[in-house]
Amino acid sequence: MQRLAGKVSIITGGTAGIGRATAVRFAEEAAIVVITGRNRAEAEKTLELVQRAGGSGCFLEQDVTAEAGWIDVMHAVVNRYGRLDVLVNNAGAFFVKPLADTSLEDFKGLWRINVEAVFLGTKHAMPLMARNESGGSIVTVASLAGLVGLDQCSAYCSSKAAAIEFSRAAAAEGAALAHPVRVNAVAPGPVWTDMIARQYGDTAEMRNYFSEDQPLKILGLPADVANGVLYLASDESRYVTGVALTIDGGRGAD
Amino acid sequence: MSSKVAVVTAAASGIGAAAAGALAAAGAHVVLADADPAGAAVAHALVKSGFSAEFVLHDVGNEASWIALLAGIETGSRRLDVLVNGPGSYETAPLHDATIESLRAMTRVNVEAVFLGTRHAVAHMVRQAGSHDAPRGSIVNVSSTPESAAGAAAFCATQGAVRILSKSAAVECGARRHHIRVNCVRAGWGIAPGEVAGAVLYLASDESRLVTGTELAVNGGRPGV
Repeated sequence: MQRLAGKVSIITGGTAGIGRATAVRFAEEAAIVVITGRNRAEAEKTLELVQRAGGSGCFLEQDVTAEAGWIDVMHAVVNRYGRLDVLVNNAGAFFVKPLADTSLEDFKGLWRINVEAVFLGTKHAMPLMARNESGGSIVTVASLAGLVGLDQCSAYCSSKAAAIEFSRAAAAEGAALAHPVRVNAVAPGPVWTDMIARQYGDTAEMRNYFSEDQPLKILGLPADVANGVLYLASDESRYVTGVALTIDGGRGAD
Repeated sequence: MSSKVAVVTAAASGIGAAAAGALAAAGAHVVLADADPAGAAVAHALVKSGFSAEFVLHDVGNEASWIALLAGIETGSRRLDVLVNGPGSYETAPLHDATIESLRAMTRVNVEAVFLGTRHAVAHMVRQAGSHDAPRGSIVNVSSTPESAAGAAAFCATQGAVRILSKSAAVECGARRHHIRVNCVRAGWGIAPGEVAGAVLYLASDESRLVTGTELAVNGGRPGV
């Protein structure tokens, strides 16, 4: 299908999990996929999947928390492809820790990736997209944890809430541009990713726990999030901006 | 959406017609339901374009009409996969002029209609699944945004009801271990109907198989979402 035909897209954290699934889904819809991240070996695997899906793209090494890195990435993308249409702020970090054991450094570390990187990416992508007649679309992979409180996740929940509110406010600015740039978030609930499988163990019990932890009782997969990101990235949602789309098996409606 | 059957109410015009068109173009068989016989021409145009569609005269606020509509689908040996409860009616008046009759009229087609449609669609999806399979389906209810506005208290009350009814139905379907999803699209006032169709299609399709109980605003980012 051609739902993103010719759209030049950056996906941060495209080396694993939701980022990888999004890269592949975008490639299936004929996007040009630029994945960024720190792990070149994993990035090569994603690129191989992108090519197998009939797409094209490249990998750029990037630390999303450094502003200079963002400027480099934007230059590289414009030099190579001439434009930027879609940014997926996907790179993120996560830990579970009681509040009393969470150091300020722990807290700041999470905020650097989950909030500051989203700020930097959106800030530098928006003016580039505004050059396009067709504007652009920025999608931030936030979390249901930004809409509801989770036990021992105060740093994570607060960072994702900040990312969602940041998107909403940036949406207002993007909408006012001559060539509007839409800014939306997705808010996934429990999703079974490689990272989770490694952290908790890939057992039937764990998978079952993940699928039972929300009303729909199906195991959430990276592809489910990728499909939501695809909708928000594509022109099918061209009147949608400032939303946080929950992809959570109904967990947030509970 | 190929091989899926979708019922769309308020399909004779506006958002309902646009949603019906998008679902049909995606390959679904679409049953356009409306009390306005003009829906027949909309269905006819879809068929002429090579899509699969039919029109059924339907009063969304009348329970017997819902029963007949869904029985008709069964008689045609079709499954019900998707129900889109299209928008109802809209009246404005400052509170001191607003009448209880106006509120009741809107409640009938905006709230009772969604209640009846959701209720009977879920029952139908449970029945057609039989005793071995989990019932499946997707219900998309069209509400509006902003949720509060001067001069529209009665209308807004009905729209808030649709939003929470959808969430409650989503949670209940999950609790009963159904794979029936219930979501709400919140269309901005005065929006071009075509803008809403993409959201309906996403929520109706299997691409959103993990999405239930959500509210998706389609309003160009106006504050107050």
